[in-house]
Amino acid sequence: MGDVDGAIYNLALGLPNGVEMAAIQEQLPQSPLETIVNGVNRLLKDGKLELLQSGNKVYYRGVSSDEMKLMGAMSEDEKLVYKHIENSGNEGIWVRILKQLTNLPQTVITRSLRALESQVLIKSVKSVKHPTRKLYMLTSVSPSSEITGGPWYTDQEMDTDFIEQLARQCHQFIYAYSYPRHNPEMVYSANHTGYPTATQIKRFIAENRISNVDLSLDNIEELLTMLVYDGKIERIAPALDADMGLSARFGKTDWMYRAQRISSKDSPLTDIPCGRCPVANRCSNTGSITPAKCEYFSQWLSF
Amino acid sequence: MYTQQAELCKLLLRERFGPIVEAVAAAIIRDGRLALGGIVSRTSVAPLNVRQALAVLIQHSLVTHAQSKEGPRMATYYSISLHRILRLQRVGLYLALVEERMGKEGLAVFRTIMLNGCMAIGCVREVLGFKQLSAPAKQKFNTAVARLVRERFISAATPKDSITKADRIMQEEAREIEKLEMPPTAKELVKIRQRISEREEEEYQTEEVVGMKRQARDDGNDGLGGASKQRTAEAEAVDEKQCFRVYYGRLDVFLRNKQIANYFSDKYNEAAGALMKTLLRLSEPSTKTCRDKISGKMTANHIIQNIPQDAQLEDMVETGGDMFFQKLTDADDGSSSNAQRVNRGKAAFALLDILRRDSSGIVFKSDERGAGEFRINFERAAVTLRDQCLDTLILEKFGSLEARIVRVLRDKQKLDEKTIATTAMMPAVQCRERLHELSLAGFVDTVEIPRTADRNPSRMFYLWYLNPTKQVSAALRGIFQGISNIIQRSSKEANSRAALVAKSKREDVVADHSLLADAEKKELKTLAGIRRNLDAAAVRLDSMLLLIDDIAPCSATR
Repeated sequence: MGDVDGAIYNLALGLPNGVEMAAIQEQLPQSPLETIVNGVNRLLKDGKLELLQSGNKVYYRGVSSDEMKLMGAMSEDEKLVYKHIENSGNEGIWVRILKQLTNLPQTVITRSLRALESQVLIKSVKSVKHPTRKLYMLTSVSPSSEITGGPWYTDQEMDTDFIEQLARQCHQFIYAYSYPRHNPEMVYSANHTGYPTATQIKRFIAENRISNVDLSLDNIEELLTMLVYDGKIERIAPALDADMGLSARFGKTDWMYRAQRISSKDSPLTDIPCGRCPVANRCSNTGSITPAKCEYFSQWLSF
Repeated sequence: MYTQQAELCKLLLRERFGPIVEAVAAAIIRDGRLALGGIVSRTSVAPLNVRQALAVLIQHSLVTHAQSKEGPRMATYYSISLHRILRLQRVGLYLALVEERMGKEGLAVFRTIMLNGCMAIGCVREVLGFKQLSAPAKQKFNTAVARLVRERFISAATPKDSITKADRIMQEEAREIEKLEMPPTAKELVKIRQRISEREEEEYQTEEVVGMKRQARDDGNDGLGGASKQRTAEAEAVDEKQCFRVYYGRLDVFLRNKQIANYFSDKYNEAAGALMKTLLRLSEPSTKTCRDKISGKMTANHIIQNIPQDAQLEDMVETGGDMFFQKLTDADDGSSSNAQRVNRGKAAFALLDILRRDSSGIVFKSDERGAGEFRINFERAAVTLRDQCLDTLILEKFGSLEARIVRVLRDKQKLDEKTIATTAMMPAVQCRERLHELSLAGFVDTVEIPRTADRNPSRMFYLWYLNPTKQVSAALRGIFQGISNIIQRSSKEANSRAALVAKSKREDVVADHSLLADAEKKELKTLAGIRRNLDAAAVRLDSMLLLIDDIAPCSATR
């Protein structure tokens, strides 16, 4: 590799998004344009540079020696497929999209994917949003939370046990701060500001190492929303203090949460056998299923 | 009307009035408005018996009648009110309520009127044998009757009450049209109908109590006192000839109020429940039926002064370093009685604030003057209690995940399956299964939003939503079926031991219990236990019916 070629290659290698011809000329003012162009062409031919296009501009990106070694073993089709998979980053790419982008026949794509997979260069993952789609990404890349579903998913499936356990812990924490400890029959006044917020609950989970997964504030709020819909806690608007003004200005309210007293009320309808009876729709005054002959009633009355 | 509802009504009527009345009522329930001939032909009951059955039903305000001109003759049509029949199931609760508020004399009067449907006070006096009693006993009777009338537990029965409402309105409309020289235009017709409904509303809103008359009382007053003194010298007395009937609509108000107070007791504590009870009690004089949507104004001071002394408010609310309550503490002059009063006042204000800021919105501040004026939103209360009742039913019948889905839909209105699954934090497949299960039972519904004009099912958004009317219908069908089943089972249990029951009622057996064998005594005890369980279940189901349907202002206008 000549001096000019070496300088161009080093320059392109230093910039991950590639370098423009004008920038190369600027860096090598003493070299004539013809020498630079010849150098670039040589490097492109050797596979040490690759062309990138953004709008009308052309960039040259340096290919590292490891990458060259890797690419050297691939066919042209495999290279094309690999490049598109690499560009998809941690979002992954679906085969149908790959086919549209490369214009290659399905059989060629399948063969290339199989070859790349056998070399452990790419891996296939399933998205929680589209469980039937197979997405491809580089082996070294970890899938984004969009694909994995975030902390609530384990092996592409919602981890309901983990959610339930975490929700129980959150509920217990909120309950402990919802009523005065010295007299649980008492309630706090309406202006009380000591109810826990999502930030405090996040800190509680982190400090007590309740979860091994890193949970964001949004994740905690999702969990608390679920508890609100379970009727276990209630969302309370923060009091009109200075903090409220600040948070309101940024369009986000730091809600407080209060636990509801657990009522052990049963529904009168499900208290009697008819409320849960599997043949309730066929029950009438006459026929084989009647309240007078009902076995469930007999069991209920003898209980 | 649901099939289960009709069946339950028939069972209730059979239980209370016997098979002939049941047959007559069943014909009207099945076929709607009927004339006498129609009923006779449908029931195969003798015309005389049909007439007698109708008289019984009219006497108990269960059937109304209306005359309509059909050619040269006037035909009388009979209509039945299922809503009123269903209230027969609630009789036990009504009696307990009257005893609690009016004492034994009030209960005796109320029960007599209820059993006879409609009765003049003079007749009640005769039936109860108060004519032969001493003057103090008579006075007690008069006071009890006056209270029952004044507080609208019983109301004057007028001939208008037994005429079908729809017919009455049509007759009034016809009379108004007759006054016009020309047939009315559409605009005039609208005005006439508006005028009639305004008149109806005015009659409903009137403060005047029909059936009361002022009576001069000789209590040694020299006549020199002012107007207020003169007023005390006049006692309110009930017109002896006036017929009265039980005002179930008003009694439902008290039952509803109990449930509202219980809601706050459960959610906060007994003190909050006691304060709510005070608010409700103060609103009672101005609330006629569950049709009223909002109570009258009550000032904070008036509410706090009326909290019963036995209500424990102190140590029930933590006011902490609240500035407002600190000011109240500063007003304390140091004496122990004053300190207690200040503490109680402080707790009461704090609890009132809690009630006002409750997420249900049942209590609200209508005016900021002084310590504020408060009102109760009964419409919100009805919705809150209904939703709570339905949520408990769904939780018990289907499970916690279904209850969560229903709450998500109630909060977010219309949602697609994926969004529900994300919000409720459950796998999409599980969410779909549960939504379909709820949909089959009638607790959730779907709406189709086409993406393209061809309305192709594959290009359609399917959004899930809650339809409160449908939800209530689904629950009501279950309740009606449940109560019917309980009544049938109860009668089966009694019939299977009919000989034993008859024996236990024999005069000699009543006089000497040793005539019953041990096994027989045990069997009677078992029957009593079964009946108790079944009756309790029926009463609980009826209270659910009250919460889900009867206390809603739109239902109360029926």
